[in-house]
Amino acid sequence: MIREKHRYLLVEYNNEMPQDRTAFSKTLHKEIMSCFGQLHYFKGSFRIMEFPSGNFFIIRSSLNEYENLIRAFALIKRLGGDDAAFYTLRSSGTIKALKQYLSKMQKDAEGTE
Amino acid sequence: MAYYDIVSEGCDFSEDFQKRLGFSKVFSAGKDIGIYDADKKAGDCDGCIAYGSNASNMIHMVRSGAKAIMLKDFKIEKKLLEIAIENGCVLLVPFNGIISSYGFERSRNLFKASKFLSYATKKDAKISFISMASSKMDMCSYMQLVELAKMLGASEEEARDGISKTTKSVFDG
Repeated sequence: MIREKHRYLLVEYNNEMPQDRTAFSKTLHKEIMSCFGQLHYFKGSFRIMEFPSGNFFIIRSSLNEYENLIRAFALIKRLGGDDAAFYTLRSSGTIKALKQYLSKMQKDAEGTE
Repeated sequence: MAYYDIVSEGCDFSEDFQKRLGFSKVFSAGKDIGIYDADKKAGDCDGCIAYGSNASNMIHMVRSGAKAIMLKDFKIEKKLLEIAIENGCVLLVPFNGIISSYGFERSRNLFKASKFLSYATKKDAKISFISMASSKMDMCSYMQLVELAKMLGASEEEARDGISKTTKSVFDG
């Protein structure tokens, strides 16, 4: 059996992250599905893995569909009736690399303030 | 590789945000470079961006030294594109129409943009991919711009060049 390869994306959400992460995740999946279409969505094996800090989250995608997921994030402009925007900041094969990138980015931002 | 983007004049964002999105600089059309509406009148457009759908006015602007042209609705005007390519004009492909629309309208915009890109690539034009965002909400990271360009039919190399070297060349010299 061939193991499925994944890619992880670090994404910034333009609004404050809601307390109810499950509801947020469900709504986001609905929006992603409306971009992908029902026939294509299942191939992505999308899953929000972590909410490292602030309004950032890490989402998993299959290697074949991660480019489409980046495009979908550019096109999603509403989430649960509210205006929303998602910015894909980085992609990596491991969650650890994304967390390191995020903490470096946050340190740099603190340094410039 | 350094990446650049062009947004509309009213788009407000911080330098920190621009850095997070992966851009070396986000230029503002109207502030950093002039942008002229060719549908209103055909004026001199030296070193500026000509924008519109009126082909004869656009041709006049290209001949008067426009650095780049942006066609409304991605309408293919063969003569205009020929003259623009001869004059070394950059063809701007803005994503704002695709990003801010929805449903059939978005589909139609995607179709038009991909047809335009296919024609321009065939003619060896210099193509730049920009967000032309009017607000922070419509802005994209460099990764998103690359992927949107690839979705329209550009190769990885064309997409990356289109948001780095070619965009920068509009502001050089």
